[in-house]
Amino acid sequence: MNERYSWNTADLIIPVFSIILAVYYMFTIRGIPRIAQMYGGSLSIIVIILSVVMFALVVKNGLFKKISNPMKYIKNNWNDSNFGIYKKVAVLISLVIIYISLLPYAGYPITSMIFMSLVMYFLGMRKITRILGVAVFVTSLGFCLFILFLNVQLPLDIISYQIKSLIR
Amino acid sequence: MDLIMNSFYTILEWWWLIPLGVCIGVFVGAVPGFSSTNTLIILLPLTLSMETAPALAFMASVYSGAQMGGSIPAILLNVPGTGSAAATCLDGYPMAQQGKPQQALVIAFLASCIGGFLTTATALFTLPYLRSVVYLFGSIENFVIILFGLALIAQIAGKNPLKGFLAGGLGLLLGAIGYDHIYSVPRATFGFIELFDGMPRVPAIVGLFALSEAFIMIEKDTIIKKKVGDIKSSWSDTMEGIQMTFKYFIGVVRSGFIGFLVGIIPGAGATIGSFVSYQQAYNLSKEKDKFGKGHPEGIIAAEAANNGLTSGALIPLLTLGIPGGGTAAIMLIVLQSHGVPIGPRLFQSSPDMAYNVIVSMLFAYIVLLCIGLPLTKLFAKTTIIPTKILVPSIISFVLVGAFVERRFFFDIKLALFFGILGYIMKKTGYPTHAVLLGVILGPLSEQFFLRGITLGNGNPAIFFSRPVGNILWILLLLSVVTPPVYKKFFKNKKENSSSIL
Repeated sequence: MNERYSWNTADLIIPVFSIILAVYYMFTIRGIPRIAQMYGGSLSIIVIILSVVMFALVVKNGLFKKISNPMKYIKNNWNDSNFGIYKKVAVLISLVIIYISLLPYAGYPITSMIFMSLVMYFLGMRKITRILGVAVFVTSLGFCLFILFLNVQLPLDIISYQIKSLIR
Repeated sequence: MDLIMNSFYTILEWWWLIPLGVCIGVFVGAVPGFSSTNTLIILLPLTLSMETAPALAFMASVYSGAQMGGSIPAILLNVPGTGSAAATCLDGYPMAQQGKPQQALVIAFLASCIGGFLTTATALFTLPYLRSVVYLFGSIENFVIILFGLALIAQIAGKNPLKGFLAGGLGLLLGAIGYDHIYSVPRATFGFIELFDGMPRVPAIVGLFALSEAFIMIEKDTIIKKKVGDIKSSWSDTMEGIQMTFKYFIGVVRSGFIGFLVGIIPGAGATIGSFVSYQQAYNLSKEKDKFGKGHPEGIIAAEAANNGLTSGALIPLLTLGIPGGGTAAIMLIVLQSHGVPIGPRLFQSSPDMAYNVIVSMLFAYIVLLCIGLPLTKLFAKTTIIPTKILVPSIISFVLVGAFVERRFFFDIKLALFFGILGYIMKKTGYPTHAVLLGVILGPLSEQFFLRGITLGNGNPAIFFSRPVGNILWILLLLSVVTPPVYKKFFKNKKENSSSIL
């Protein structure tokens, strides 16, 4: 509690998001009776105040001055390993977005198998037989658990649908 | 007493259903997004075809097992299987990262079983009297109890309270999205019809914990920095976990009964119970600094409470015929389909049903202990599976978990949004637990607040007009104010004594 916290400009991502949400929230509750506004309205104001305090603290610590030359700041502060990690996460998130987009059309088993194989390869696994073995095993486990046992209505390709009809 | 003995004999006739129910419960409880409620819905055709006593015994066993199963991924992967296991992550995962996954699991299992067993045994002997307790809690008391849970935000804020409060406020605001509870006006839904009913909890849990953790996991090769050969899963680790649990035995009993009391309140839910218990354990602990860093008391508080809550949550159903939660509502369907009169006459007309359920839960906890403890050795090895395999497996499994509850593809996208939000928060030092607390407790606090204020015709004085409510206010005030005052006083005293020396 007593440790001195070192502020960072990245600390402002959440306050910026919070302010946008709070302002939008207040915009959507305008015009509704006061009693219904009370809870959400007060919350929005509290969130805005906390976010503004956070901004003030970051400014007080002089971080804006430090990033007056953004390129120099990135060069000095983002060492290669950090940048590599964020790049990896960005690629992983992109793969998840592609997986989610294809899931309703290609079905759970095929999309999951392809997604898992790609992620394992991307994370550095190079043995194709191992990649395929794990992908097939985990997807089959998911298929048995979710679709056959728990009857989750996930989209299926024609082969999986036939298997499900045969077993259930 | 005859009723209790008859229930023992009845349940012994169907004893084999209890291990089956427990295993199913532990298994589905460990899958994020699945709960005892949606599993029992899936198994409803099976339970409807059984006789009433075995059906209820089976359902009670699934319910008890699921509460405990949720702690397994919470400790090993920082992915809570159920909402109530989110509090277990606070200390369970740090303990696993210290190379003690087996000890953490043993503590969780033992605390769950002891907490659950003691409270169930209490329920067995006090069942006729507990119905009056249910009447003591209305919207005002519920609102204050939720504030106990929200008070935890201040404590999990860590070294930067401002970030903790902002995260909590953001969570409450996200939880306030959707129709308002009086005029049904949609608020901040961004035009998504899927958000009109409010912010769904499962995508929030899955995203904030599971997905964000998966994104962080890619930075390391395994969850804990140990080689495969180093984790030998010996019985001495199990013994160490048992010793740690018994060292804090009073905490197990206290947390179990906190969960039990919260469970009795209709609609409160297991998540509130485990967070309220964690907050109380923190306040009463002599080792506050160890909380959040893999402290056994933290795991005990969350786990004993959420299992103590299982028996408490069935009290409104068994004594008054009011379903206190989702699982109780499904039990009610089974009772109704078998022609058992439901409503306040349930306990008078069929007291044997109530005792059968309680006795089967007692057996379930004994079975859980026998099955769970040896399995901790096996589960602990999850922490040394390479993240190259774990990350895609977790993502693929939990996204299905996000879909299950409402069966909207929108919920999968929402889970990804929460995953990115959770990742940014973890990287910038905002506590994700505070957001989750807000998302889960926010809608409930708003609901009870608005009900209270409507009852008082807009006058907030209504919140201080009921005796039980006032006692709870005093306890809340004490639990928030006492720790910092005590800490300051204790620190000054220590400084004075050292300067004298």
